[in-house]
Amino acid sequence: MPADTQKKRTGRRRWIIAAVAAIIVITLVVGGILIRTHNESALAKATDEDATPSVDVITPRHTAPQSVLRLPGDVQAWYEAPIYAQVSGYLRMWYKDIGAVVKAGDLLAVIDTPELDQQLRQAQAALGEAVANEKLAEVTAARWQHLLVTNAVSRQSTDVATSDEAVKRAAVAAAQADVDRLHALEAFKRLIAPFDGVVTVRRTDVGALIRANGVSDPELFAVADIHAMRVYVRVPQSYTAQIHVGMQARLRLPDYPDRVFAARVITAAHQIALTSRTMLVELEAPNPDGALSPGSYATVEFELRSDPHTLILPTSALIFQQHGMQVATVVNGRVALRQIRIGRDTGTEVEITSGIGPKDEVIDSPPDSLASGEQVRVAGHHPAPPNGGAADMPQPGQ
Amino acid sequence: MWIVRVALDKAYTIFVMVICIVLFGVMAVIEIPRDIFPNINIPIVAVVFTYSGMLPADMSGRIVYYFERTLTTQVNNVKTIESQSLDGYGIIKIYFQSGVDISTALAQTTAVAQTVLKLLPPGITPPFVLSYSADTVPVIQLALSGHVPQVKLFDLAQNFIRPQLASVAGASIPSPYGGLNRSIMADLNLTAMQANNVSASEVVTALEHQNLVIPAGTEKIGPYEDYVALNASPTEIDKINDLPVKRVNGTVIYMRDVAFVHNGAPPQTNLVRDNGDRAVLLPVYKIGTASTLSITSGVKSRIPRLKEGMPKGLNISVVGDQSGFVKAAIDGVVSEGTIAASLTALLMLLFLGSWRPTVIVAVSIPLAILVSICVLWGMGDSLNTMTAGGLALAVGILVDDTTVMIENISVHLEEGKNLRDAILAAGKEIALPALVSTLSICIVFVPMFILSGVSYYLFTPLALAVILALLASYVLSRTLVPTAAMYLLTEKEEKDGDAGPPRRRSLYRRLVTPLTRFQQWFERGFKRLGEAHSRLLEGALGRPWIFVGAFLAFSLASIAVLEPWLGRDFFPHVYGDSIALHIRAHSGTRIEDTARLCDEIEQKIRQIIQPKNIKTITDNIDLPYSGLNMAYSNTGTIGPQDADIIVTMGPSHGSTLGYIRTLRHVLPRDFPGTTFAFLPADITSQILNFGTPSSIDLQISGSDEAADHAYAVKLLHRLKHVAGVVDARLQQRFDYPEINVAVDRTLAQQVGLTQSNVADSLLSVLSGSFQVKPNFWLDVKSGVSYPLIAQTPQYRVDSLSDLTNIPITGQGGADKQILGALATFERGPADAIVSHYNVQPVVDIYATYSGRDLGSINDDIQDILKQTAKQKPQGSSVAVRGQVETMETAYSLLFPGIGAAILLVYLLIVINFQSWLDPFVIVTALPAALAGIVWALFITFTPISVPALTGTIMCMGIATANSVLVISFAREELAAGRDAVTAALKAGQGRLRPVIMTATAMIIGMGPMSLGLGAGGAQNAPLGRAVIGGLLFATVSTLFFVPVVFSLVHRRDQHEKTDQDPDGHPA
Repeated sequence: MPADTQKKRTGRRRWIIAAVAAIIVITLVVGGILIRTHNESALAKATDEDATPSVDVITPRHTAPQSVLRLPGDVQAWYEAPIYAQVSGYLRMWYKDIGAVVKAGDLLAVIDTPELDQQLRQAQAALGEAVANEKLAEVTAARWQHLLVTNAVSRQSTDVATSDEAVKRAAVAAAQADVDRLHALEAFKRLIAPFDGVVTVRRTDVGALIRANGVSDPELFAVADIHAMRVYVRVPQSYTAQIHVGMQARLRLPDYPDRVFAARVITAAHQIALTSRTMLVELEAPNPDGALSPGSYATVEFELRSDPHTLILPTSALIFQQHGMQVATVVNGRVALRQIRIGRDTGTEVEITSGIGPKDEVIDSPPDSLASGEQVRVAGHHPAPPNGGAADMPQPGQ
Repeated sequence: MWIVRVALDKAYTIFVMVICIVLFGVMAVIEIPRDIFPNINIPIVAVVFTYSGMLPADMSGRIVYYFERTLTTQVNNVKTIESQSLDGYGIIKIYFQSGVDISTALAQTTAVAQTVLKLLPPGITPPFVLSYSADTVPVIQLALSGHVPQVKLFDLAQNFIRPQLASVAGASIPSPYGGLNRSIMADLNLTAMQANNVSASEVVTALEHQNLVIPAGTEKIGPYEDYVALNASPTEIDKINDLPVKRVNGTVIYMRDVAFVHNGAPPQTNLVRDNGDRAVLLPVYKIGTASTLSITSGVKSRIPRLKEGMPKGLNISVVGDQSGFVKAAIDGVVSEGTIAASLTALLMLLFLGSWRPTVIVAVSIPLAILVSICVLWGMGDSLNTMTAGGLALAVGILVDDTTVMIENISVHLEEGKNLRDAILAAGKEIALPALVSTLSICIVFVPMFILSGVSYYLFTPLALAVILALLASYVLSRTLVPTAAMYLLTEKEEKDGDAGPPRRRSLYRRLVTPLTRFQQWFERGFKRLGEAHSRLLEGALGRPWIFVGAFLAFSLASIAVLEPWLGRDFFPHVYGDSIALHIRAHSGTRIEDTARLCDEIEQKIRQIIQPKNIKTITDNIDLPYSGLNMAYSNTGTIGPQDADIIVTMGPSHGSTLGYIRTLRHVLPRDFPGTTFAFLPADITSQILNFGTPSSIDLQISGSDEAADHAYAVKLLHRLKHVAGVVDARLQQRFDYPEINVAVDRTLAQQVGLTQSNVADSLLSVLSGSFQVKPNFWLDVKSGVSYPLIAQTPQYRVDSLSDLTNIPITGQGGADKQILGALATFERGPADAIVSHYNVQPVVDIYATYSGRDLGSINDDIQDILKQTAKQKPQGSSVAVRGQVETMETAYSLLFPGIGAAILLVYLLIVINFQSWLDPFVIVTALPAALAGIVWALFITFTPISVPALTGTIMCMGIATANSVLVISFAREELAAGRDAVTAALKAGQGRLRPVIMTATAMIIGMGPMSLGLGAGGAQNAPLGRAVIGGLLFATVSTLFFVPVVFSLVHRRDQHEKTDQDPDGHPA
């Protein structure tokens, strides 16, 4: 009997042990699997949440983007007159050096012209002779006229005498003209400033031989009127349409790196040069302090403006696709890709000519793979940066 | 057993052998290189083309493709060719078939580079060709910062520090990151050039003609021969300003009139900051067989000397020093091994109950390990987490041979033999079984040798270490153990043998009474365990079919139910003490803005990670100055919008993984439009990722790049929603902002200009003259030649208008033109990088994983690929590369490998038992071992990984070895005429002690490893866990299941025998 109970007890104990073991095993299995499924679903949720990209949105801005056209220009004086010698000779003295400010009529130099003087004297002598001859012919003619009345002489002889008088008178006129010419030439011994301005060239000196044989010799002096300057710019054909008379421009000169000069388009050639495909445009630049010098090289900056009501977006918002340019807009937390067309591009901003409206929220710096309809989290909203185009205008002194 | 006899006769030989082992072993331990991993000898040849200013698409089309195609025809044994074409750089990496002669490959590649050179764009220089291996990773980096200008920093790093460090064996040092590359800059003044009617090419030509490097020669005057030197190159930089450029109307235009030549640097294209200070980073790579530790210590030992020659205020700090991690990892494994060995020895003391045999065991374990280390050293292997892990793994088995021998000697002593006879008899008796069990453990490791790629190089040294230690242990148990037994066991043991149980009567009992008591208590406990075992075994033998059925059902059910929940990884995650973060802003973001973004991100990081836990934050923005750096490392940087931020943690930081998780959540929300990815920061993950910046690389290759890209975007969307996938991103960017300048050639021709005039002008303005017309200026004081570059300062050209206003000058007085007059400008997208794989364009989706196992993620990826197969562009193919690929390959080889191991072991035992059936009985024990492994991994939440599989293989070996002991005992009993049930019972009882002893030793030995403590401890933990779980079940199986199956198998045998006995046919 006790052995029997013993056996029963061990039997029961065995069962209990087996049951406990089974429970432990099942708990471990079920627990392990539950924990894993829970972890996995939590992870899946977290992954889905993290897969939603965060974006910054911006709204497009109305402004006229500016771009700058920068062209090389030549600065020239308002008037510039090179002064040549009309008479040959030697320079007796010059009175104005380069840089001298002159008034119209100021004496620049005097030329010694002994040859001319001699010619004048000779011409004067010839004139005297002609006058004398004329006088004689006049007397003779009068006499013959008188005698003809009395038929003392033949008509023929009288006509001869009268004609001779006319010839002699003409000879006097000729001699007088010669003298006058030489007198005029004598006046060219004095070189005179033609207008108010600055002496920009002096290419002669006292005692220099001066020959008046035309253009092959350089000018002796040049005088320039620099109260205002004319700036000539060759505008490439592609830009000519945007340049119009009255347009303001800025001049920058290498000699005044910190200074900007104002200029205004006054006229244009309205012809494209065949060799360079450029149009000559003339600008006026006031030069009150004489800082601008003729012959200078200048960079001429034209500001090209466009329609002030264009929508502007920073270039960072653009998405390039094979089928054109797009932007991503956010509508109710979802992405909507819009096809856009862009107008001008300043490098940092672009004009949007179609595709979005001023109220649209556009994703800035869109992630590399946005699809239409994708959920996004809007992290921040900014207006488009107002000074996006500032980099366009380099500050003087840079 | 002749060897035992020889050992007993020639004891001195054995002692000398031991001394030699100790001597060479200690030498090996001191000398053997220490590293994190074995050398991964997968040779890679990298070819780096540099052509500054060449856009990626051109680089790909005009240089890289050409080179790659030639490569395929002229270089043998190429496995794969990968290339990256970036702004100014083309990097081609060539992977070879295994076993290729790398010097031939290198020579052939270099030959190709020379061949194609003439056909490439003008002015290109021959590429760098360098070879390295898959485990070439940065092991230490020097950061130079301080009150020294950036130009100086770079100059010091490049020209003074780098040559000094080059003598460190195994160190490869590419160019420094960051800083400014000192050059002599001729800043072109566009306005002045236009005013003087001088073109950029005229300036460059003038530099070329006036700054010469041409020798003059010698002249013999009288009795002497004099050198004649020419002032061919100005010795002072300022003098370059006085070089004449050209003559116009009698006026000489000098360099200074159109440019300003000065000491400077080209625009910064690589920015490094160390805690916000501008710095220069000098990375040191490990190359060849030198160990990480020797390289880092070599570099660090040179720093004090380097500092002496440096200017005041310069700080040289060490960043990303991997030696601490490596040392800690090895130390961790070594201490695990030591603890395991000590625990095992203690366990032996407990089981054997006497210090003498324990001493023998305790001596033979280290000796076997020393032999193994010695041979590994001789074979050129290093002491690393793998080999050390193998040795730690072996410790548990090493005791086996010795204890079996000692146990057996005691048994024979107890039978009353004298010591020598007892030893000889014991040696003879167990020679074969011990050999079989040793061989069966060795054989299971054979499949490790069929692995390929990284896995092969990682795991074969582990297998080798185990096998070597086991073989050494076997030999020692045949030689040293008998000899030592002869000397140590002496008469006392003999007397003890006479006077009852020998293990209870130690001479030192009085000294160690408490221990002895404990031992006695243990013995009593063990005895009770034995009784319980006998009872249970009897019960099981009573209902064999139920037991076998239930046991098998439980095992198989465990495997079937639990295995799917385990998950698969290639290698366990290891987290070091640094975080590497890669950020990518909007395509084309300029370096200055990326730097500002980095500042903001770093501020955020400092909010999340306590500043006291941060040692340094280093960032590295944009591509390095030298293409060499890109050949070695790939963090995914493709341009100025990319930056790497490396956070080095202080000594007592929190969990790196925890920080990464928080940052992953916070950063994308706070910085919209920026992509974040966490890169492998520690040396382990870097090596395992094979130089790629992510563990998953979904690669779409095909000729239609646009369609591939569109498909990649679709895949990316799906991939981002796969649980556990993090940092998914497209590596290739197709939206790099580009301004297309379309010159109207006819118009240009009409105004007297050609495309080349435009190109020349653009080049000198935008990227400098150096690429097309390289010129150098020698600093005679320092002996360094610096490039002389004519370029327009970047700040002078900083808007689209500036671009349109670039003057274009032709040769000889053509009219002045600006670019805008000749060309139209259109904005368009450009490729920021063009990648090829096997000479085909590819798009890569990089991703990594967290919180889930790689195997399940790969399954999901495969599902996605199947679902989207229809959308795949015609002719394109998709491959999953990276760690996933390595893992799949390893698994596809390891699973059959385990099968093959079992088969091999089976065949071995067939030879041993000369029977087909008994070995089968042994094999039936294996499902239980597998079930145990599955259970251990399941309850510890450890995914299956290659280390776990290694543990599995190990388990197979030990389980078999133990079962062999049981079965051979049972066969002896059977042969002695007992019936199968009795034989099985006897065998179970008789082998209880050794089996429990071996298994316990092993389990205890694996204990420290399975905890996965310390740096890099996580990597071997699955191995320990698998072994422990597997052995627990395998032991039960060996002690119950195997005898029962044996009894079942031999039951009919027994009947036949009793039937046949009268006929005179003994079994």
